[in-house]
Order: sequence, then structure tokens, then C-alpha cells
Amino acid sequence: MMGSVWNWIAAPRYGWQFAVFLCGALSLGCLALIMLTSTPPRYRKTIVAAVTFLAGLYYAFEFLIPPAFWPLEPPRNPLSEVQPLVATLTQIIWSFALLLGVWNLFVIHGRAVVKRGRGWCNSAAFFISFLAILGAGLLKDYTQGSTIRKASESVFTILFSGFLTSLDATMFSLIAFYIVSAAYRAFRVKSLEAGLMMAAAAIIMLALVPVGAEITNWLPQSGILSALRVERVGYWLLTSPNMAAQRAIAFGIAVGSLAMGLRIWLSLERGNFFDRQL
Amino acid sequence: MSQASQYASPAVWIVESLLVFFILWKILSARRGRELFIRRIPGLSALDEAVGRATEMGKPILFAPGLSGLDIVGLQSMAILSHVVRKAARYGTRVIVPLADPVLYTVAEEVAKDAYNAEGVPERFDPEDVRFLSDRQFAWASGVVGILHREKVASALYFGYYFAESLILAENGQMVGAIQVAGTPATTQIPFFLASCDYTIIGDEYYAASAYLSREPTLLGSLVGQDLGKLVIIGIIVLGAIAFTAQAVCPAVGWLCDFTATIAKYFPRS
Amino acid sequence: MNVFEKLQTIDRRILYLLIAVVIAVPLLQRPSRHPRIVFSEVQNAYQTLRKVPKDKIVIVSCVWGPGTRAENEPQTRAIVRHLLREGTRFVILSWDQLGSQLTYEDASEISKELGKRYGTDWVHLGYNPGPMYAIIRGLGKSFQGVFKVDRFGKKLKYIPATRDVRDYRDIGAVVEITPSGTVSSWIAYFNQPFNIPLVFCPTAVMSAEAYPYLDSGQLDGMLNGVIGAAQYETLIGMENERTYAAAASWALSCAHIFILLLIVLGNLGYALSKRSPQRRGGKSIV
Repeated sequence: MMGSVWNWIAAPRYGWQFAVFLCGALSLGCLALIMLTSTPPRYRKTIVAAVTFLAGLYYAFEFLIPPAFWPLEPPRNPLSEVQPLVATLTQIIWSFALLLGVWNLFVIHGRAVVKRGRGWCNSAAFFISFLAILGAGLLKDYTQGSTIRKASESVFTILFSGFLTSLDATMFSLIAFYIVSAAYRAFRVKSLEAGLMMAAAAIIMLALVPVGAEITNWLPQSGILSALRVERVGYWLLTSPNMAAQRAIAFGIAVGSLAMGLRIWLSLERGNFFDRQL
Repeated sequence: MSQASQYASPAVWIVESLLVFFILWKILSARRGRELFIRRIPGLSALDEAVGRATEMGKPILFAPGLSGLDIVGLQSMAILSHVVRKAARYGTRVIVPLADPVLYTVAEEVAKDAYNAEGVPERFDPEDVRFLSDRQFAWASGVVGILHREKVASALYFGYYFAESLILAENGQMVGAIQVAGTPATTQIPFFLASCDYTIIGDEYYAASAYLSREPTLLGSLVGQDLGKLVIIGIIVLGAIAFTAQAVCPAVGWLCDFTATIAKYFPRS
Repeated sequence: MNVFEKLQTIDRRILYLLIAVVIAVPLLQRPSRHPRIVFSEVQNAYQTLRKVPKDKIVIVSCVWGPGTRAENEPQTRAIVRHLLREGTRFVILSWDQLGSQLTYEDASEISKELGKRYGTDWVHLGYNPGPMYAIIRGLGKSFQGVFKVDRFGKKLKYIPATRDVRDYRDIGAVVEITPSGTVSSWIAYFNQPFNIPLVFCPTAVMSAEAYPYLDSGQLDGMLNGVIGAAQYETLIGMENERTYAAAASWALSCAHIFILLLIVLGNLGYALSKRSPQRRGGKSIV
């Protein structure tokens, strides 16, 4: 029953239905926010702690309690059955979070444009590019007239492929330059440990690229000598010393995450933002 | 792949219960006033040095939480931010916090505001110092690089989840001559930070940060509990290694075969 | 400043210029030759996808965007080409707004080239904002409960490739193509609980942390950056084609050799300057 009601609510909507549902969701969200902010601070803190605990409890119970422990026939975990609903719900909440970021950008850059302080042109550029790509994207997808549609598609392609993807890729490619200067500056064999680290790095660098295999290609593919082929030595480094270190760090991080998760779940975290007046 | 289960196996129950027990036990005993020792972590001690340097130079501090969202890593980053902002507020030094996650942005703003309030200088808080740049990895990175160069920051602190942008930021911080401290649970980025930063916090030292900085009993207790939990894991690994090695050496010993079969049943290889 | 000190302090602008040339030449020349060696994890990835039953669907989860296009796009293209050739149906899931468009364009182009049809052979589910863990956990229980429509808003129950996909039992494998540490979500919430094979395609820098999972069998194969993509192309019979992945693997070879040379030069300067008379005389080197 609950599932079918939720399925009806979460089903995709189009046209006027979409508009009605969007307005309805926004109004409900605002109402909830108003109610929360008008609650006295000490009760508000309790509400937040209770919601955090219940949300964590769902995933804990869903994973930890196997179907045989539930008094149901046939044996099943009822919490698992609502997982798709929980997924849809979190997806919706997550999508709203995107608006928060846009809002902040508008406030900061809007203030800069109004004040006309240092670098206000950059803030104006934000509004121009934001509106240009938003407008072109909407026109491309929602207009019927072929001329406007074609023009907006061209603008969108220029902005998307010409600017956005190229700028993003350029930033990533900068790593190549920085890795050269960082490696050149940092790799000095000042001790035995530094020497070992440099030797391991050199072997891995060669083992991962085709030229590494070419360098030791004169060694046989099988037998004792094959163990000296650079790709074999590199693979050994990755799957033995590297793996041991990765596992050790992963265990530490996992236990650390569990402890932090427990403190948040049980509202035991004190001494930072959880202690403030909510 | 062997048959796996959607639900926790008895082994998970036992290990998780032990970990939770140790963590909660130590938290409670620390809250009752028991003194707990925590070793010195140079990277975290260097935070005070970073704040001091920025104060002396009259330049701002950059605190970048990486691409962390509102998760365990992001929240830990906020705990460190709180400490840094409180220290900086005491000396009137600006802390610039660029964010890549809109949800974490709202938390960071509150954390900074509260830190200024706690130090009794709420008027020094400038909302524009905590800013959301972009949720796109490299757009955010280019924004932070811009801040590093424009503001000529004296100290750059990188605490959070980092991916490929780690080296871009650390190298640019190096170019502007900032003292740099980094901490991340992303093991693949640690070599880059090591190459370019003055101090790097490795692995689960990141989760020790809030306890180390605040010396708050709950956090200290949790940290000691974590270490006991790690001892449990080490014990299981050592026991398994000895049992399987012994079985390989003496395959005819019946009880050893039963024991290793039980371990394999509860801790299966995928 | 003597020659040894100069060796240790080459201007970074010169280094930048040299690395740009070293990388650009092989990319412009586009050699057709693919890497001679195929790593075992790439071989395993190929075998895993080849063995997916034809009545099951493969989820190609793409977390990448334009930033890591150079590494993740060749991986995506190689996987998509292989699946289309094998006749294995697949859905593309994108967790990046811009990556959604790029992955759709890539798959459309290859599909057209191989004479395959959207909707029958493959489907694109569009951009999904997350959070990953909740969606991944949910889709094992009800695929169409979590993903209701494709990127064009058409209901999945009316699309031939997806109409019979109910839950994890209809999913043959997952391919995670990512520049970040998202694979642990698939392992924890989907592949391990539901016992479904997982192929991991990270950027090269992220691959080191995957080896424990490969060893434990939680990952069934891996394409290690663009080199892994070039090796995968060799396996699907493209070893003589002038592809970007092949050229990039030689560009990376040149870059790695160049970096090693620089490290040797820097260390040579450092070692010799320590032995020089000036140094012995007490002059310090910063």
C-alpha cells in the first residue's frame, strides 16, 4: 500500500503535472524549513539528532539483520524491500542540494557586481556564461522552430565542446607539467630510503608503459630469468609491497570511518560544529 | 566468485561488534575522566606554525577541503577547519575556504562563523571568505589556484578528499611560497602531497586530527578505541596466516583442517 | 652558480616546454603499434565481459567528465565496442553532467559504425546526481524502481533492451569507469552482496589502490588508464589501427623516460656538488 502510494508520487511527470508537483515539493520543503527554524534551539537539536539516528538506523538494520530474524513468512527483510524508495528519496534530496551551490554563486557574484569592487568583471562573466549556456541548453531541448533550435544547438556546441570540455581537459593536462617539476625537485637520493623509493618509482614508471617491456624484451618470457623482466618486477612491486601498504592504510581508514560514523550517528561528536546552537 | 550475501555474516557481526564495543568503551571511560595518551603528529602540530606564519606576514590562510561532500571525510575536515579558524581569529588572520560541495559549503560557513563567535570576534567573520566555487573538479581547482596567486597566501592547508587536482594545488602553493600542510584519506594522492607539501598527514592520522587538536575526551577515547579495533584486525590476520601456513605444512592434522575450514567459511575469498 | 647547481635548478619553464614537446610528438604522429604486453588484469576484464550471458545486461557506470577524458574515454570506447560486437546489451549510467553528453556521443558513434540500434542493443540512462551508495543499493532490488526513464525521458519498461530488467538477477556485470575512488561503493553495495562481476577502469593514478581488491577477487579485471585501454583494443582485434590509446601509450612512454632522465640529472648534480671542492670547503647548498 505504502509502496504503491510512493510509486505514484515518485513516477516521472511531464507538462503541467510536472509544474504542479515541483511547486508542491518546493512548498512542502519551505514549510518544513520554516517549522524547523521556528522550533526552540534545544528541541531543534534533539530533532536533528533523532533524524540522524533514525536515518543511520535504517541502513544498519537493513544490512545487519538477515531475513531469518524477521517474524515474516516467507522469510524476508522488509527494510530491503523499500530500498528503491529510499534511493529515489535520497536522489531527490541530493538534487535540491545543487540549488544551494547555485544560490551561493549568485549571492557572492551578485554582490560583487553591485558593489563594483576589484575584479567585478569576473563576476559579471559568471552571470553571462551561466545564462548563455542555460539559455542555449533550454532552447536546444525545448523549442520547436528549426531555425532557433539549430542556432541554439550551435551556440551550445561552441560553449560545451569549445569552452567547457576544453577548459576542463586543460586543467587535467596541467598535471603533466607539475608532475615533471615536482619529481625533478623532490627526488633527491639523500638517504638509503630515498634511494629505494626512487628505484621503485623508476621500475613502476617503466613497467606501466610499453617501452618498459621493450627494454627487457631480450630476457626470456619464462624461466628464472623472466622474473627480471621490468614488467614482472613492476607487477611484483604493485602486488606485494604496494598491496600490503594499501591494505594496512585501508584498514586504518575503515576503522577511523567507523568511529567517526558512530560518533555522528549517536550524536557523540563534540567540540566542533555539532556543539553549536542549532 | 563464491556465493556472497546481501546481509551481514556472523563474522561481520562479531568483528563489527568488537570494534563498536572498543570504541564506545573507550569513549565512555575517557568521558569519566581517564587520562589517555596520544603521540605527537608533526603534520598536525604544524598547523599552529602555519597560522603563526600567516599572522607574521599579514597574509591570509587558505583552507581547502578538497572534493569532500557532507560525509565522514568532509565532516572531519570541518572539525580541523574549526580549530584553524579559531586560532586565526585570535590573531586577526583571514582564512579563505573554497568549497566544491554546496552542502558542505553551508556547514563550513556555520563552522567559521561559530569559530569567530567562540573567540569573541564575530565582527571579523567575512562571509565571502567561505565560498562555493564549483562542483566540477577542475573548475574548482582552477578557482583555488586563482585564489593562491591573487591573495598570495602565506599558508595553504589541504584537508579532505583529493583526486587528480592535488598536485595542481600543491605545486601552485609551492610557487607562491606558502607553507603547506596536507591530509587526506585518498592514498593515491599522498605521494603528490609528499613531493610538494611541507607536512603530510597519512592514512588514518587524518581521522585522529580532531582528537589531537581539541584534546576533547570523547574524541580521544574514540581514537584509542580505534587502535584497539585495529589490534583486533591484526589478530585475525595473524591467526589466519598462522593457521593456513600450518595447514599447508601439516595437511594431515584433522583439527587444523577443521579450523581453517571454519575461517574460510566465515571470511571467504570472493 | 656552478654546473652542478645548474643541473639541480633547471628553470621550470624549460621543463614545461620540453614535456609538452615530448608528449605532443607521438600524439601527432599517431603510431599504430599497440603495447606488446597485455596485463593479466586487462585479460581478465576481457574474459569477464565475454562470458556475460546474452540474456543479461551490463551496467557501464561512467563517473568521468571532460577533465579525465584523455584516459577514461578510450576505456569507455573500448568497452562499448566490445559489448556491441559481442551482442551483449548494456546501459550507460553517468554520474557527471558533462560526461553524460560525452558518453552518449561515444556510444552513438560506435553503435552507428557497427550497425547497432539505440534502445535494442544499448540504452543511456542520462545524468544521475547521486548519492551513489543509495542508488547502487536500491538498483539491486528493483532496477526500474530506481531508474524509471532513459536520457530522453522514455520509460524503461517500453524500451526493448531494458523492459525485462527487474533486479540484480538480470545484471551480468558492472563496468566502473572513473577518475575517483567510487569503486568501493559498487563493491560494498552491489557486486559483493549480489555476487556480480565487476570490472574497474580507473585513471592510471588511481589504479594502485585497486590491487588489494583484485587479489581478493572483489574486482574481476581492470583497465589501468589509457595503457589499459590500448591493451584492451589489442584484445578486441584493433592492434593495427591508429587509435588515440595506442598513440597515448607511446606518448606516456616518452614522458616517463623524460622524467627519469630529469631525476637522474638532478641527482647527478646533487651528488657531484657534494663532492666538489667548494662544498668540502663548507659552502652550503640550499
